Amino acid sequence: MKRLADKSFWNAVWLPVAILAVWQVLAMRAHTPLFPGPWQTLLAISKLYPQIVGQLGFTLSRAGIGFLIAAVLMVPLGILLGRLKLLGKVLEPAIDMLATLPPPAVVPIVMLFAGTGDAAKIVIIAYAAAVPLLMNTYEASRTVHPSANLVARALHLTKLEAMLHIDLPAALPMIATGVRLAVSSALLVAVTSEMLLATNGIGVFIQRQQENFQISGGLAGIAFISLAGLIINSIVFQFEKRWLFWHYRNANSKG
Amino acid sequence: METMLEARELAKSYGTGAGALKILDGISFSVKKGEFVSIVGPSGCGKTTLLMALAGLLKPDAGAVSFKGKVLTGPSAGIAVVFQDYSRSLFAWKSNLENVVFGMIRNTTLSKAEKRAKGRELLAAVGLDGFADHYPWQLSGGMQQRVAIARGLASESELLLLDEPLAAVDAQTRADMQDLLLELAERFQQTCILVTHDVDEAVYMADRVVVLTRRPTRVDHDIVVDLGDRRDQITTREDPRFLEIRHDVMAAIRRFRAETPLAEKA
Repeated sequence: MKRLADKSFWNAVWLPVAILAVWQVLAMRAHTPLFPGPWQTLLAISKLYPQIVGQLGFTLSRAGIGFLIAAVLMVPLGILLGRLKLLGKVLEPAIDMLATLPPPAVVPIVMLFAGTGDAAKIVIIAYAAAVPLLMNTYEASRTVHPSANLVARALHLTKLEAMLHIDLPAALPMIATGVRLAVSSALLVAVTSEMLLATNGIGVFIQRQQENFQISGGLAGIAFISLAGLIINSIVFQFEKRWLFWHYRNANSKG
Repeated sequence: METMLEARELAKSYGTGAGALKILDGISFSVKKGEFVSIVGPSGCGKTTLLMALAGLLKPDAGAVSFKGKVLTGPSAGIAVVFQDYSRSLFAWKSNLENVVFGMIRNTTLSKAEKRAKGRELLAAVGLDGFADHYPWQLSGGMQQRVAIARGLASESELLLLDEPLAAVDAQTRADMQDLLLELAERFQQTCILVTHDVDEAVYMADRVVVLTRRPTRVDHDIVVDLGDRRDQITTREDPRFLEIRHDVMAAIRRFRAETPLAEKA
């Protein structure tokens, strides 16, 4: 058993190590600050990390607020549209249209109403996170199995009760997928919005570093974003394990 | 005895115009309080459509269903339905006990603790004492269907509508479940309507068998099963009277099969 674990550890690790090694060799041969290797990036991290962590804080708190606003609004809306079929049909084309609109494209419009401060960025982040949350929730709620609906009707549930006790839990697995997509969208757009509406945050930091040809500093910032992404993903995964155990077990059982 | 449920001239079609498919074509019968009535018919004759109409889950185009003298306009308190598809009609995110307690959602007289206590009693009644905190997906098909039956009983029903509840469980479990259903019907004073495609099951369990014609469906025969209240998997099934009734029912259904064009059989 131990052997197997060792083996899978090496399987996961050898490729990144190889890439880092090749990168280091290429960087040493290029011998220019414009092409820093992993080592130079590490040095930049050790020098800049207090600044990076501070800036990342701004970014993550905006991403978090934007995501939460989207979740609080879109999950109930999706459930509601799935239950009220007519309303869902009316709004579906509008949702599809908004879904294809890239968040950076709405930046100028949002600026008109919300300026360039925190509010503007949070609005854009919420918009980006809203799309996968709404689409997944709506789709899941719309396709709840007819048997479950028959049970709801046979037990004389009100529409609200059916949404709360049946549609929402039944939709949770797909909502979880929506959450994963929304979290990565929120992070992505949080950084992009900072680059477009420069005030503070890790996006601004990376941009400044790169504009000053401090490529290794930029890479250090990127490394921290990736790390934050990994940590957030594993937190989301923990929540899924806690709330969706029945879904994953269900898939493994003989049914 | 008091009439529990009465169907009068029920008709239902799917679709409109030339492509309309007439499913039910004037179905009438009544069920008395405490009776166990089986409904059988050739495949595809609209048994499930009929049951949905009896449950108030489907509005008939014409005719009416009355439950304890009142015409049904929708699902009614006092009627519980047990569906064939137990794996989807039970909620995977609720434990077995929570699933059963969910059947009491319209019950305002019992406290939460009392509901849980009653839920445990019902699970014990269907032979699942130790499984209250398990989840439906951890149980076999027959056990899941027993949870669904317990949920039906939890709603304080007087009329239990059973939509091929045993169609998806294996033969041995099936025999046990038939006896369990009979026992529960008596113990909880349930009037039962069982829709099934299994003629043996229909006769074994029922006080009366309603035989349907093929589509468009009407009542073909209404046969009294005079085999007494005590049924036994071995002796009842060997009883000459059982075989006689089984013969009559089977003959009626086979007759329709013979009339059905081959293309439709598949």
